[in-house]
Amino acid sequence: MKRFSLIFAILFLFTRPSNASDTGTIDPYRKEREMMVQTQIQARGITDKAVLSAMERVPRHLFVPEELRGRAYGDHPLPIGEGQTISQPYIVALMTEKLSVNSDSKVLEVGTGSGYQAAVLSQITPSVYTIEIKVKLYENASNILNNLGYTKIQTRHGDGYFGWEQVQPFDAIMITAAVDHIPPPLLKQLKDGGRLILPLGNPFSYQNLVRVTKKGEDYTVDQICGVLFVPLTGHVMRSR
Amino acid sequence: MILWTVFFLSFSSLAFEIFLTRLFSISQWNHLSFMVISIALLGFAAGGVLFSFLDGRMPGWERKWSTWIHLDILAFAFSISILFSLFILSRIPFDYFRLPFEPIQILYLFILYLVLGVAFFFCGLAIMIGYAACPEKSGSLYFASMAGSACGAAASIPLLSLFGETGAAALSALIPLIPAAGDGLKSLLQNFFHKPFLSQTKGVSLAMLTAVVILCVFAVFLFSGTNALLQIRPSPYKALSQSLQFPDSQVFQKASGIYGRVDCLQSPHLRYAPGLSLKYPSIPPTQWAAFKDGDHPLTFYETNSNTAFARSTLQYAGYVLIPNPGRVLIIQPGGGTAIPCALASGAESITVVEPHPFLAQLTQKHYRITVVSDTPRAFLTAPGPTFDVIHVENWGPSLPGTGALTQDYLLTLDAFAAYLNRLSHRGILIVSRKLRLPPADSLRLWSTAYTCLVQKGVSDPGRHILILRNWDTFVLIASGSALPDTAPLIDFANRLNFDFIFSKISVAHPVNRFNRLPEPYYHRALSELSDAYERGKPETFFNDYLIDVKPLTDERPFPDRFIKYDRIRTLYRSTGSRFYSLFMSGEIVVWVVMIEAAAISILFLLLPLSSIYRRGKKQFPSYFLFFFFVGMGFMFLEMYFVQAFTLLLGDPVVSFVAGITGILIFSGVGGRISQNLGKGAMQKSLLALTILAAISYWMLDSGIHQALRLPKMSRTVFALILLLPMGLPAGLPFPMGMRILLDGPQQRAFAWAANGCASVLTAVASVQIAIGFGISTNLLFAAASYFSAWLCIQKHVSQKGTA
Repeated sequence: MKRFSLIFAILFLFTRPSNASDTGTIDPYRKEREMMVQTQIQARGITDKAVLSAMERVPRHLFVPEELRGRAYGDHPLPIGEGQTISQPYIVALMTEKLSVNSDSKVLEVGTGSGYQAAVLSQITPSVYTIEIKVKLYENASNILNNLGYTKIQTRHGDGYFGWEQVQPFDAIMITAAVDHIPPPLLKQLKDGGRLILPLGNPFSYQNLVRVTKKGEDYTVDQICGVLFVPLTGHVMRSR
Repeated sequence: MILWTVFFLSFSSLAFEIFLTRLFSISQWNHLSFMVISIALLGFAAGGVLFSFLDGRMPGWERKWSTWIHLDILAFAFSISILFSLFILSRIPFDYFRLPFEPIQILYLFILYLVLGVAFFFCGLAIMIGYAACPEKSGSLYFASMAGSACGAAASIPLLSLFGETGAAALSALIPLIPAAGDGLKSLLQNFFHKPFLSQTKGVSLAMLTAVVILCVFAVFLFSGTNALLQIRPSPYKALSQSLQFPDSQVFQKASGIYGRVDCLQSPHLRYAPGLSLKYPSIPPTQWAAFKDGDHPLTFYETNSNTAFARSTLQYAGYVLIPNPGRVLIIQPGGGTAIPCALASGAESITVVEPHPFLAQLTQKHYRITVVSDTPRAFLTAPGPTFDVIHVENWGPSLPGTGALTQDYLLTLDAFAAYLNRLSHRGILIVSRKLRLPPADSLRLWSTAYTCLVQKGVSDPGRHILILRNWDTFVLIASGSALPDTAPLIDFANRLNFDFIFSKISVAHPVNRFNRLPEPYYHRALSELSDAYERGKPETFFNDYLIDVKPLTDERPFPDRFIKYDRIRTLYRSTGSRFYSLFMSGEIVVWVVMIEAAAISILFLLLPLSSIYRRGKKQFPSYFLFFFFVGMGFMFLEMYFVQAFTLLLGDPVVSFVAGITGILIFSGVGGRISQNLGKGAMQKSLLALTILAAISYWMLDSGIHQALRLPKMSRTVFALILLLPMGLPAGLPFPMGMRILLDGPQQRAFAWAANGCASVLTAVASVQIAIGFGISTNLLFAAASYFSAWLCIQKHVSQKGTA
């Protein structure tokens, strides 16, 4: 019996996907991640099962500096050095959901950052392309993604402002860096009906999302508040 | 000897304080630089606390420590601690943004506080020893201390320009060594000629001189120059640090000075274009940027003949209403798109007002247009021509909340009145800002324009104002005359996908059309505000609204201030229940610093007090309260002038230097005069200060506004003259109290500590008072403090009188 158990255990380990998200046997943060999904994401109205599942599988703590791992699943963004941040889990989930991607979507992420957002997207679609202009960040994120087994994600060091000409058009584009305008080359690389999403404001203050949808030669811009700004309805206006 | 030591130490410590403020402004954010004042004053108070506590264990300490050799040791300790603190400051991995998440950051902050406070501790110690050892010379000591500080403040301007922030800070460490070097040399020469070689004194002298030389070499090699080993770098979250991470990006020009550090960056990846339409098909023009203190980029575009870019920005909307304008005035504290817009409009002449001399020079050189280097408010107040367009490009800070303590006189009611006064009959005012949720600036600026138009006698102000937005920015357009045909503007908005937020002109244009929010929040809030104005009850709206969006006045010119403390829980909930977003606000930081300063002050005052009472040397608590109130009064005055002069002189650091230099010189002279005066003069000075502060509360504000018409240099002279009537008597109570009221060194040490603690608390409280009640209110608090001090000594005077 012991021998069978050993064989099963070995088989189990080898048949698990190489993806680090599923290395549940040695993942001390699994419970925290589940709690994060339940209390921070589901509770705030994210219902897309693919997004919830992705958030539950990607080990966020491995994308933050070691000294901040204990805080990785907190309901806040985290500074990850070099003036960069990893977004609040809810924002990552909200951006992913509002991008409306499925397993056939080709997605471009501009600003790889820690690599976490790309890892989450890769749980939904295999066609994830990510560009980072800052060389240190690019190297760091590439290493983490490779080490954790996210080998299908295409990473590139370059200027995301111009998109990824060779593999365009995209069903969806996500800009994770702060921008003051939406780069025209990116809009051109969107398919008709494609979506581009970006966060507005700074992760440490208020933060809402902007989603641009391409319709022929026209664009519509939707500003998504999620729960990060509860509108000033009459009740809030008067409650003191 | 002691007077020179006190003079040079005070010189150095005030200069170091200013340099530290600059270093914090660069490495962190403005509202953290404000922490420096509390560090310095607490350091000062700590010396008094230590000796009032040790008095029983070290009898005669004041005589022992007032010898030249001990004073030189203190000067050395001061110098070394400055150099050490600079080293720590440049190396410690303190990250303000990690503070809420990483407990070790609290330790780093504590270490910074401690290390930076040490130098001020030694300085405070030397001055306090002077008062304790030579109470009869209190007036002269006070003069030496104040004159030294004033000279330090004044000297900081050339030192910053010549040596940069770190070099100047390092140099400030060497200044107090001047008397020590003199003593060493004198002693060395005397011993060499008259005493056997290598006597003890000579050894000490040699050691001192050697130490001076080593410190000089150390400082020069490590801290100054462009290739310095230790440099203070801007926070990695600042725009400059972010841009420098792009490939092929480099700083090609740098300038330091009292107005701030400017770094000029060249990068093929700079593409600044706020307000740009999604319909713009190309990439923004080639550009480079000048960053002030590592942030607030001012972008310079290669405009050539390409006008399509500027014409595709939201801020160009104003020019659509007034084609081919004559004279255009541009005020741009940050941004840079205003000039391309003006150029694209075909304006006959363009004038830019830029208060920063170096940025003015850069602007003139790049665009070859007229650039006036002065504060915009002074330019607008002075007589001059009218303009067809005045464009205020002010996007606000890159991180909302970090500018909460920044005084900005460009968006107040008084500023709008000045803009409207300088518009031609068909003139248009354009103000471009970032959008925020909950709606904030847009409401405040609309109501500011509305109120000004009402004051100008316009019958239907709503028809003179328009607000448009894209997804990230908004532009307010206002005019003294009814806005012209808006059809071209509607076409412009439709073509470039911009939305009207609110307009009372009959524009058939749906809101929330191209840039859709779940609900038209901005439009709804502005409609409610407009209705409130029409009903004659705008106050109802302002009271009900979640945040404070009342129009700003020059009395409370803090455009980034929005928090209503009685609504903070609702605000917390409505912005996603995220503590850290509130923590980033400068308004909250002031409270944190104040609580921390109050806690330390209470500790500082209670500990030695118990020691004093244990030893049976009872002194009237009212005496200590006297010194506490005198400290408060002085600091309220000082802070008032520093804040009020920002309008007059245009820059907070310049006004800090001018205000501090002036008040310290005059109060120093007052202290010197007090040397020969009796206690009657002390009482009279307190009453005079009470009356003068109260009168000034009513009168100074209008005087300062009138003085805006004067040329730049005359305004500085005027500012210094304003300081004279209160500065002079403000120098009397403290040294006279030290000389007349107190009996022993322990009491003097404790009085020194009480005075220092009061100064710390007041420095922090005055900012909160200015934000909450207005800058002038500090004068009322000053009057109340001096009157309280007067009350405190009544008992003493009557007792002495009876005796």
